[in-house]
Amino acid sequence: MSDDPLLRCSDVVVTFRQKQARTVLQAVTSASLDVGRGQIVGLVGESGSGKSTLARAVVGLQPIDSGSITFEGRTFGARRNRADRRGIQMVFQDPYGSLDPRMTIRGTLEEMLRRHTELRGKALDARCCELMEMVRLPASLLTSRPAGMSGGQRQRVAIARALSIKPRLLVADEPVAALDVSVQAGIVNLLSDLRDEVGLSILFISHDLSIVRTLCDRVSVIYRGKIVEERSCAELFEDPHDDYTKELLAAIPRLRGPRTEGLRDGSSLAF
Amino acid sequence: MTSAGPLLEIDDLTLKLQVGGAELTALEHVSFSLGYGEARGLVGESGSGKSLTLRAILGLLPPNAVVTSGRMVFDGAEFDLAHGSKADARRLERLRGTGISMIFQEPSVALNPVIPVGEQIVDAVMRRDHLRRSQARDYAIHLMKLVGIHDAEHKVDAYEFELSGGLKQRVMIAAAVAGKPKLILCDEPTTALDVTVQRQILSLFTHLRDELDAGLLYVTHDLAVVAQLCDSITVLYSGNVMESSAELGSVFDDPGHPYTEALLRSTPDVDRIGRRLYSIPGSAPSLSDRPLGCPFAPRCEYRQDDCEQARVPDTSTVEGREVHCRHPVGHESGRVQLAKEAR
Repeated sequence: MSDDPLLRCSDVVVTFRQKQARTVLQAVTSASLDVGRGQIVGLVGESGSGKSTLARAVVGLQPIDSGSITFEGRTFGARRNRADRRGIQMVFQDPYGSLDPRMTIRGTLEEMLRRHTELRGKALDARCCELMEMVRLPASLLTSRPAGMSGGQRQRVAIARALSIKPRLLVADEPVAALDVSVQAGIVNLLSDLRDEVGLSILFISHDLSIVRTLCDRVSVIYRGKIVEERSCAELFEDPHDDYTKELLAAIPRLRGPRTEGLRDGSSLAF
Repeated sequence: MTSAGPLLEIDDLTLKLQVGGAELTALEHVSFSLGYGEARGLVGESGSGKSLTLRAILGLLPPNAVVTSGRMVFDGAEFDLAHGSKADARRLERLRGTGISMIFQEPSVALNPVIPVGEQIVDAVMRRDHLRRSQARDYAIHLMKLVGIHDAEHKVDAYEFELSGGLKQRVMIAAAVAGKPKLILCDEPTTALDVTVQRQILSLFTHLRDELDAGLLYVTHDLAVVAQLCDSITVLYSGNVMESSAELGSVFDDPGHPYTEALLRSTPDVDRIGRRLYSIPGSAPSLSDRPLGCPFAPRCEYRQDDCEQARVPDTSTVEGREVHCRHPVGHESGRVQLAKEAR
């Protein structure tokens, strides 16, 4: 039991019916992926590769057509009960769109806690403060609304909300893509600390390979709905096996690489 | 090529925005230059004034913006950016699309959804060269092939919404180079693209500047892209030039301004792992309550009392380099945090 990974996706298939064309689009054709306890697993791929669809399937926002998703040894059925849903929480890309603008931060956090826990009164209050501390925000912000906050602060609130009911797995879909680099660094550090301090497992979806390299323990590369390579981060970046992975890694702009390396390749444009 | 001086010179550009009765300074004494065939990275976080700088060069500022000082020399011709000179504005308009062109971050916003993309590509050139429709169409197809669009004969009649993000950006680039401009302004053109497509686009830019001898002013917050593409760099923060260098490598190896150093330390690097990213404390000041002296001072690790004095001088002693900091880091001053971390 304890040797089992926290999350196991086996041959997951997700299709979308297209109304007019009467065809079926396979967004995820066959995805198998494990997330171990206390691991951060990166899921990388280009737009349209199916990475967000797979993430949504893991959280239960998207029904799967075949295959199975097993969490803590239990395979999810078509409908998940509340306890199942509680175990996996999600953080979205856009910190501007994922928080209710009319709610204070306290309201946002309390909504989750009231729904899923028995905490009331002082205990509820204490938990809110604890969560704010966990994401390195001053408790004084509990009374603010998202409009008065920066993108980085909002994303921290979104993380606090996801963590409020103590999920074992956090699914983060491009959580830093919309943030400036200095703010991004703070969120990356926070996720890494949460893994180290509370043993949080994270499925980290990103198209930024430099961040994945910095943060993740393992990486899965998804291409056209299929996981083409899944290995430890160090191995995959050192010695990619799959052709698509190789292409992806070769395209990373390198901070310390020789300038315009390879960019002059190819024939002249002949204006 | 045509003249001895640089292609573009921006001198002492100061720009204010009128917001609800108040006048906020968005750019302050911004100066830099760009040679023929040179690529300069214009780097900074959101709100640093990168995009406004590009728009000021094009004369496409929002209605509430007022340029209070600023002189521009482009290809030997001088323009007064301040004082709202009508004659200068008309001369600038004539340059748009033909002498200077711009590539925006969001091609789907910049392209017109009800006009086929082919027509938009040659729009500016058609007016300048009085091309016939069939000639213009052929030229559009030629350009689309040039930027790597495979079935250009079909795509020329497509609408913006029928194309993928990468194709749209190529269409924008085709439109931008249609008039063989001397200067191409790029506003985060690859931020929304996949890394493989980004690489193709960067390669395209490199060919363009080699073959047109065009200058490239490249706005981005991605230092790795700058490292790959650019020759020189200007770092902006809160509307001020923090650091500027004609030689990019020297800034990356040995940043002079604490802000540049902080940016580099917070950027994830595939080749240097196992290092904790530096997260700059606090957040960028809003335009309305910017500190009097160095705008970065409140967030700076090396801050000292005199940082709050107005108008920070350039303290660099190296030719072609500017560092607007009273207490610079780097080898010149013997403080090299970044180098320590690098090992």
